Amino acid sequence: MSTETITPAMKKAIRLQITRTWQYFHRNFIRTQLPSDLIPEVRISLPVLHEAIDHAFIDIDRMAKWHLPEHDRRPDRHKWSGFSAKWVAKMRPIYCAKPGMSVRALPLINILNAHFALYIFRCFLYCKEGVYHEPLSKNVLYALHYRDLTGETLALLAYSYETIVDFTPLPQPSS
Amino acid sequence: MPEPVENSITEQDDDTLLGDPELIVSRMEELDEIPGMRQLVGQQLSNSEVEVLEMCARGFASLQADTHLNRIRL
Repeated sequence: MSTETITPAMKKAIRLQITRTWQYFHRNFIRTQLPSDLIPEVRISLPVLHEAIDHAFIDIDRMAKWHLPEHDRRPDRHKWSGFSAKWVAKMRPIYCAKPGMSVRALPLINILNAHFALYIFRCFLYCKEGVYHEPLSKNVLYALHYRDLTGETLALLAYSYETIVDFTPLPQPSS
Repeated sequence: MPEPVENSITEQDDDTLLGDPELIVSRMEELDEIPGMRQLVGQQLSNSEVEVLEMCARGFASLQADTHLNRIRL
């Protein structure tokens, strides 16, 4: 069994990817969606984020060594997507620095971590421009916030996210 | 008796390309200008490592094109 499936250069690339996804998330989500008084108070704990990424490395390395074929143990982008999102959602690195945060802001900050994890989930995937799966995104967001899915399950969702092109929701039953 | 099926799976010989500067530069030219990632090009990278860089660059470009994400609500 090989001793290392994820090299230091790969780790550096993944860390950079997640860091710039945070910058992008801050610019495109936090600054546009949050009340203006709350924006300066939203922070990310880099030690917690790094710990989440390290957990993802350990988790994905273990999966690759035991479950990927011996001739090619390289995790694909769906695995990176699923495992990274899982650990960011679990570790919740985003917090509010404002003392005495209002009750209204608490759930907002909490859900921000799931939104960020969704961006992480999305930042490894290739989707055709203009082909987006809003219902699937919403369900992945729900799972990241409320459920405790495994990296493998999220990787399967990542694969679905890329491959379900014609996503037509079933009509709602009439009440 | 069924015909023997030839094993179509071949060993990846990525590491034979370790540090091939022409390969790395030609593939990295497809990437965005990413501070930090560009620094990695100066290192000796295997083909697998370059693939991870490509994955990151393509994924990020796809994320940027995805304008609906900030409309998603629970």
